[in-house]
Amino acid sequence: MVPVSALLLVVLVAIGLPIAVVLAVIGVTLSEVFAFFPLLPATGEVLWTASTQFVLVAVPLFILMGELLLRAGIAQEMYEGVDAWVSRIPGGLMHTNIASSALFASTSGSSVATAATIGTISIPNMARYGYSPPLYLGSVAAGGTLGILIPPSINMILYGVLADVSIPELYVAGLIPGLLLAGLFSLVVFGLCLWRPELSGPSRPVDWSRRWRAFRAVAAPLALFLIVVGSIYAGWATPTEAAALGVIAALGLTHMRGRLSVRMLRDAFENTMRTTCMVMLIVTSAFFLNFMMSAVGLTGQVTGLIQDLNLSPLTVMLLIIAGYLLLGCFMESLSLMVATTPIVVPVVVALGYDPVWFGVLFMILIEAALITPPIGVNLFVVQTVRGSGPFRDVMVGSVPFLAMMMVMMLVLLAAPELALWLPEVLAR
Amino acid sequence: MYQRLVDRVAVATSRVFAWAGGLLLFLAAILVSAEVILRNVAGIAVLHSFELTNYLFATAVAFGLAHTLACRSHIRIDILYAALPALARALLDLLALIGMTALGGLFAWQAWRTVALSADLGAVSNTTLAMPLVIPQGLWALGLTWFTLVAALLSGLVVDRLRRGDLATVTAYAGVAGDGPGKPGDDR
Repeated sequence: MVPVSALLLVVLVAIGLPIAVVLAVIGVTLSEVFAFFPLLPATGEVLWTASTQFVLVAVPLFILMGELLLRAGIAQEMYEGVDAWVSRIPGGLMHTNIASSALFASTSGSSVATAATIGTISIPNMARYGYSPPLYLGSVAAGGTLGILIPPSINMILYGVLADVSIPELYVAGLIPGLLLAGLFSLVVFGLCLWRPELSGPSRPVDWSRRWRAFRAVAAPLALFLIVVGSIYAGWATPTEAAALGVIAALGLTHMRGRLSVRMLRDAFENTMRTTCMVMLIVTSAFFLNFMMSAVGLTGQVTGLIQDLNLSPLTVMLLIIAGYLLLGCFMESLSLMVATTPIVVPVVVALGYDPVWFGVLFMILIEAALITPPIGVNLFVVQTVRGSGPFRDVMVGSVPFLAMMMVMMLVLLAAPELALWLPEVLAR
Repeated sequence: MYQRLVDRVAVATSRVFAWAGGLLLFLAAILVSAEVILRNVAGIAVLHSFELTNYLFATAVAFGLAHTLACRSHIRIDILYAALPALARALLDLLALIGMTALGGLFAWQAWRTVALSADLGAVSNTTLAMPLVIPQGLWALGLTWFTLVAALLSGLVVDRLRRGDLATVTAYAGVAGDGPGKPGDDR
């Protein structure tokens, strides 16, 4: 049963069938070949439940919030505000890229949106100030990945729903590792620029009046973070309710900036729906497959197989990490996550790991998948925004940041408290 | 002729459904926000935002799936696909669309069975709203049916173009996004 499913998965994905179709085909095969009683009659109820999960409504609402923020144009001012404070460090604008990505990530649940937003503002500066392209582009591609680790995070919602883990807890757990990872990104830029000073851009004088004005520019994203993530931490709102508040706040911001129009809303709606339906078709199919897998006992079989190997939990975890790094090179990250969560999380829990902790580690694995070639969505986004020049630049420039993600995962393995301490404190 | 039918009926209407779906979710956001504020300030919960939002969500997504299909935005992995010759790619594009039609058909069929069951039992939601479930489930099943129909129409167009050897049109309607010329509006 396990080999049949794995083989089907590999072959059907490789020939370019839509991921949602692949998951459903495996589900139907399991139920028709391996089930002792007919399972299909129950699927209507399974699909209806999957389609009416209140938690999942947070996904389109966070996407809509991002679409509105993009059109409000707050990112440009935020970028300049952050720049006034960090541009003096060796590495200049590359630190601005990372820090403003981290700040933007605190209002955005998507790594692609973060990379696209910061990239659009930042990449024109690369040639203007004469930065060497690879490391500069790498800082945008990798900085953008912070979007799913620093709350709010769309990927954490999907993980939470599929693995049955509390999303507020995941949001709290991701905060410290997210900031640490941003720090590590800056550290590697700093180190490389000390070693090879020609990588660092020109020094640009900044006066203090610009620095004080910068506070106003970051006020909007900080206020949004307080409304959205703050209301979850404070226990006033569930993630979906917080996302709804975020939509209203983002709408207010677009109105304040005179960008609100029917046409703008229509375009935002259309983009939101296109992405949402892409995600939801895969998620619905995953629920369908999930139901079939548990009904025929596949989930338990995989867990049993791994336990029979008699490996230490750490060895298995390292194998899981290595497997995801490899798969992340070839598979689109969202499909990878949705398709594997239901199988991998029971194994991880059976080994004695905390599913919240694994959720954070998993996000870093997904971040790595986003910047590992040949299939790395953030690499594509940055290259598209850049418009010309060799794709190789983006790939090479991302390598130092990929190394920092590995370091961060090792740190998390050695010190799980980094993720688990804050949720415990807040639960008290 | 047939292509114009697909453009007018399937592609254009699906886009309108996507706008409408976005609007429904936006209305849900207003409803939910009002509920959060009322609950935290006045301590009352009267708007049924939880339940209504779920119904709006299911309806919006079911009707929106076709637009994502017409934009070629449902995810496919093209690592092997990209290395194949044009004819093989076009055949896989057709297979992908047939797969989508079958998936939509399965989901829509199961959805209508759920509607029929709810109708037989006279099922209402287990809340103070007591919503007859046939209403939201019926809308959901209708949306899934629309998706299946659009996928079937697109499959028909692709078969027709394949017979004439017009691979460019096949790619434009059914290829992996980012590949080939695409239709106007694809990249927004």
